[in-house]
Amino acid sequence: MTTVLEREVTPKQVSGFVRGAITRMQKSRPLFTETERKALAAYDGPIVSGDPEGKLPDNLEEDDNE
Amino acid sequence: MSKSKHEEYDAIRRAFYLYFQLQVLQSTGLIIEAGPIEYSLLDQTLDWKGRRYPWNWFDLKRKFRSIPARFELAISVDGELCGLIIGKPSRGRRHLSAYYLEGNPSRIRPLKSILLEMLLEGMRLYGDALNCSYLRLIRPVEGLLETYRAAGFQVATGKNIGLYCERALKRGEI
Repeated sequence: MTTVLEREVTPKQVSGFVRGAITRMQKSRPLFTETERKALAAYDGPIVSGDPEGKLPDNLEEDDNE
Repeated sequence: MSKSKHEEYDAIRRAFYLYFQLQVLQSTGLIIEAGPIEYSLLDQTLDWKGRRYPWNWFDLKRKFRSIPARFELAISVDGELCGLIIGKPSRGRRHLSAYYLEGNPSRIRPLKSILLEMLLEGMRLYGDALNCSYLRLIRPVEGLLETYRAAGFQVATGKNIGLYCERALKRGEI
């Protein structure tokens, strides 16, 4: 016969750092004006950005893209 | 980097995906799936026809995985992958960079003409969450430069990265 231990699960409380990020998201507003949105929508080619050979810097975490 | 740092950014990204889906729903009325770049989704890129570059998104994802603050977004509709974007913030949080961005090349993909705006607005939302001041797109294809200029980006060249486009983020109301 096995004993089943009961365990109460409580949701994790996030830190102030996370709450700050969420507050900024709530205040974030769309970036583009109507004219800019139309310009983006009118583009008909490949949606692609990045190094053609798929390379990344060795020190990616420290890279500031300068 | 500590485990708790990874957990904090995981929590921010989780909130970001929920909030972004909600913003898209509010502004367009469309239901999309926004989430992390999952290996299961990336299988679809192997079937994409007419890609500009044969990037291996499995490798790209793997290389960014250890960076706690990484930005990664996959947008799908009904399980069909529409676009991917991956990058990270600079160390001082001046800018959020997209190192790789790719839309499903199919002419009949869902979201057609609004996909590019959607990917960039996703970047804006995460950039605001991390308190970045600029968005930076690294090495966009030439055909996109005029479009980015018309959308408020400036084109510049970096010592190590080559061509990039950059735009200031509008701050939300305080």
